[in-house]
Order: sequence, then structure tokens, then C-alpha cells
Amino acid sequence: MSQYRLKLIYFPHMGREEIARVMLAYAGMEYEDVRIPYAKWPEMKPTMPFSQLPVLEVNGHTICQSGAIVRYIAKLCGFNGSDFIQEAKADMICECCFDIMMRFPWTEENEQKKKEVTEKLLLGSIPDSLKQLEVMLTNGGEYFVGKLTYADVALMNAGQYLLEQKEDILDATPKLKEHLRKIENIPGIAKWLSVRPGGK
Amino acid sequence: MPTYKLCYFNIRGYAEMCRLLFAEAGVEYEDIRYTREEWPEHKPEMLFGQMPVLFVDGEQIAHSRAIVRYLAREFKLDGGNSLNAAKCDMWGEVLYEAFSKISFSEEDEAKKVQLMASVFKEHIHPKLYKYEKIIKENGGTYLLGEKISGIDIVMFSTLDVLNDYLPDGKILEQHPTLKILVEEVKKRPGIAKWLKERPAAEY
Repeated sequence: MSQYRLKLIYFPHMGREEIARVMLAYAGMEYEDVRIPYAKWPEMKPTMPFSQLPVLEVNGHTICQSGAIVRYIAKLCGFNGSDFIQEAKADMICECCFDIMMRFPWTEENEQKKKEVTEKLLLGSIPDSLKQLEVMLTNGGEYFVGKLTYADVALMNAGQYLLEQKEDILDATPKLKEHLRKIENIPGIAKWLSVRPGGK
Repeated sequence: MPTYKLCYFNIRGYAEMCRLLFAEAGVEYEDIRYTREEWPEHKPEMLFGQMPVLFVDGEQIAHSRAIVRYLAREFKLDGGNSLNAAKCDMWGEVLYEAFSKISFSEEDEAKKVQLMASVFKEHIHPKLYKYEKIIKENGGTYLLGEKISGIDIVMFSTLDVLNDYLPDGKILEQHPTLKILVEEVKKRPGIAKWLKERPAAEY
């Protein structure tokens, strides 16, 4: 583990990067957790390979794109399943969680429109997607693909955000809700949740 | 070797990069193309009600980029180690992000042309210049250097789909290094054969 010099660079909010941090905490891997204040970003932007964050620096190499970072950290920390099919299924489920989060109107400036779009999502397409994810969980068994992978962590990450928006959003998918709590209570993960910036 | 079946519409779209990976690897698969009329009856069969879906011995992998990553790993086109795989992954995501800013559904033709030009200027061309820099730094023809990987094929596929679809299909005129990459990908035996034989599709 000490062969990897890891540095995660992001803004001071959780986002998808948090999936990587949860895995690193569980695996007990050390890394530098750098959070760039928003005001400092314009001067830093030209120094990043594709002018974006998050970025993972590993042994002198730079990887951007949160999905690529999550998938690489999953391999490093053993969260990528036992074979290529499990890995592909974990990938697919994680992408579904990303898709759900991408539907929110993050860049909408009109507050009223933002509220309307968000409410519509929380009552319509998001519960539909959650039902599909619950079917996948039922097929997977104890975890989405039979063992703990980044798919489970991605579900926890997205689920926590969704519950903040609407506290009963997981009530129609009780298995998914129970699963989220189960992942939160895994000792290596629970410890990180209790100390991380931004809280639980 | 597993039995593969790829399900999509009769277009290149998001499935073509998967088909090209099969072609490069010389691996057989069932290339299922549903018409718009046939789709509603098959939609419930798909895990997330969408395509493309890859069936691997009956197991479903949905989501086009998850499929691409799986096939690249299977066919040893992922750079050979986790770090190279992460780089290919990153380049694929950046490409997808840049091109997904194109709005194909804009109906006002004049506005569509204007939006397209703006997306190319602000998002796509700057990224393509960065890819060219990476290729040169890695001493290659290809993004990882001398050896082809799945991301080169994804790059080709993306540009191939767009070149026919956009009214002014000359994306690569400003990007000679990428032009060379595209030409080299097209010459690969499996890919050249596929390009000759593949069903004609609108985009």
C-alpha cells in the first residue's frame, strides 16, 4: 500500500469523489485529501490536464474524471468484484447512480424553475430508477454483485443525497433503504462517515 | 469464450464503439438491431429499459461505457495495467462529456448551427488539442503511445458518427495528429473488414 502516493484534489463538497474517499478509508489507504476553495479555482484551472476537478495524482500520474478515479480506486482497494463480469455489473450500477444524480438541475439559475424540476424528479423519474436498482439488488443477493463493490458505495452516496432532498424517497424501496443503512454501518465505512468533512 | 449478444437500434450511435471493439479483437457476437417498431416489445427485457445492452452468456451488462470498459478489459485493449486503464477511462469520459454538450434535438436550424459551432469552439476543439498533446507526449500514433487501445477505437467511433451527421463534417482539419490516429485505426485488419461489411446506418 505504501507504494502508492495518492493525492485527491477536489472542491470542498462531497460529490462523486466521496465514493473514492469511502473506499480509501475502508482499505486504510493513506492519501492527501486536498480541497480547493472555490475562489482559488480560476488560478489553478490552467494547471489541470483537462482544466477540471476532481483530479487524482498517483505516483506522478494525473487522472481526472470522477468516474475514472472511482473505478481506479476501486481496483486499488479491492472494491471491483472478483471477475470481469462482476466488475462490469458494478460499473453499470454505479453509472445508474451517477445518472440519477446528473438529472438534478445543478446549473439552473432560476430558483423557481430549479425547485419545480427538482420536485418533478423526486416524484417521478428518480423513484422509477430506484425501483430498477432494487430489482438489481434482489438479483445480486447480499450486495449488488454478490460481494461488496463500489456499486454499493455509489448507492449509499446517491441515497444519502436523495434522503436529504426528500426524507421518504426510499420508503417505496425498503430493500434499497435497508442496504444503504447496512453499508453505512460497515465498521471501516461508519468510522469515515463519523469524521469526514461535511458529516454524514 | 463467452457467447456475446449486443442489442441496439439499427444505427451506429452508442453501440458502434462496442461493435468496433469486437471487430478489432476478431471476436464473434450476435449484432441485434431492433427497429423502432420492434423496440416496445423488447424494452421490458432490458434491465434498465434502455439499449445498448450486452448479453454475456445470458447476463446483461447495460450502459454503453460500462460495456466498452468491460470489452476493453476482456480483449486486452485497456493498456495492460490499472493506471493505463484509468487513463483510457479518463480520456473516454472527457470525450463523452465534451460531445454530450451537442444538442441534437434543437429544431430551429439556424440556432442549431450556432449552438453546434459554440460547443465545438468552447468544448470540443480545446479537448481535441489536448488529446493531440497527449499522443505526442506518449510518442505515439495512439493515445497510450505505440500500442492501440480501446480509447483509440472510441475516439474513431465518436468522430465517425459525427462526421457523417454534422452538415460540415470536417472536424479533424485542425487536428492532424488525430487524423493520423483515425487513419491508422481504419487500417486495422478487423476494423477495415467491419467498415466494409457493416450495415449502412443513418448515424
